[in-house]
Amino acid sequence: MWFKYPLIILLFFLFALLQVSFLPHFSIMGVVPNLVFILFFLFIFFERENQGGETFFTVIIAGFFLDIFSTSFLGKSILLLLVMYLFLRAVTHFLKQKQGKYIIVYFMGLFSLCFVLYALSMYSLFSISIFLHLICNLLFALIGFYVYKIIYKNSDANNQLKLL
Amino acid sequence: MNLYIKKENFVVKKIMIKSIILVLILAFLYIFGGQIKNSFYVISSPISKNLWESGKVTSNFFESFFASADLKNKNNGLHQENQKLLLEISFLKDFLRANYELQQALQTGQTNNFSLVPTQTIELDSLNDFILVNKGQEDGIVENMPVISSNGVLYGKIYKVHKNFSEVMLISNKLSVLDVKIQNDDPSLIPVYGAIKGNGSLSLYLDLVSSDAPLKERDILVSSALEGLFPKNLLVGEILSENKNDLKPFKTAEVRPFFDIKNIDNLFIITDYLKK
Repeated sequence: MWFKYPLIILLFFLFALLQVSFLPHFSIMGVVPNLVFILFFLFIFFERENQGGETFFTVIIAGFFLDIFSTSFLGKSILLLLVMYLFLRAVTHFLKQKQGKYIIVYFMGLFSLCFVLYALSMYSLFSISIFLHLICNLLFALIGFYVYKIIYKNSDANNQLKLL
Repeated sequence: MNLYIKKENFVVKKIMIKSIILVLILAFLYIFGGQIKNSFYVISSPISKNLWESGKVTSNFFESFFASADLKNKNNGLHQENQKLLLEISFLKDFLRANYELQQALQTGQTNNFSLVPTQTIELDSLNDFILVNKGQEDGIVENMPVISSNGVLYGKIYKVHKNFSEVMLISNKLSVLDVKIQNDDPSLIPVYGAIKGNGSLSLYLDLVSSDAPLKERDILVSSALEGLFPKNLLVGEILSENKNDLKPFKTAEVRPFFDIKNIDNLFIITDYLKK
């Protein structure tokens, strides 16, 4: 399954370019969805067992593309995403044990928490516009959630994480 | 028991290897960050530029589509024909616009005695209010140079310079503060000064205006050059509404910025203002 790795790079690269070059023309109140972060979150949230190496690679690639198009030094987002990944891994494990009855609620809650933490770490300042960004990104993340859910269900019917 | 210990050792080894790889990657990125960013922009800029242009054309198309929704039935045939023609001549129009803007900017530059370097926007970081432009160290760009449009609208300043590209901090960035003068209709009045602060998401607000200063809707804000970074009289925005709060020692107001990231083709970097 070596081809998965270049595919991940290509996917993040395309999403990053769309985010910074195409979508700004469709922004509402100056808000553009952070496709790279959304894709990273979906990868982590729907991580399967024994996918550690692949997820580690995803974290590095997502962090790299977040940093390359921002003013922060390269590596800052990698570290941030790694911390988020470890946190989410613990929480999603708990969700699996709970059989994920309200998985969409957990998804929204965790996404909001991670996004606000990420935005705060990049902004350095708290502002009401973070919430505008959150609403926009949550909307796109939910679309991604249902798209990923279909792919996820089709590819692994025996997965323990039961979705709505 | 032995199997358990072996498994545990294997996990510890795995974590250690991953940690070492991570540290090496971070160190590499930290040391060669500038070069990596510049090389990446060189590789991705042709795609970014095309995507930027496609975004603009698509966005303009949808805007015109929604605006003329009531006339669409009557002019359907004409619209289709028009859109085809628009697509065909869009590149030619871009060249014409670029030429016109360059001429205008050169005139502005001549009257203000500034030398300008034309540049184009490639990317927008909407979370931090930064744009990436295609001029860098090789074009003589240095940090803190002002960035304006052809008609004298202030966009921001150069924040970080790479070999072929520069990052521009827009005046809407949350860390941006700029001294402005409020232009009154009556020239006999004492000029009112304030500070324009970035509010994020491409928005601005006016702050630090004396509490007894008169503020009117649609008053024009121009740069006052007090902070020493931007030249005088560059267009910044207009007042939308005054925020009244008796508890605050200064007045604040909502501001509509004049800069328009979506529809701008060419920007200009003032290269010699800082030296003066």
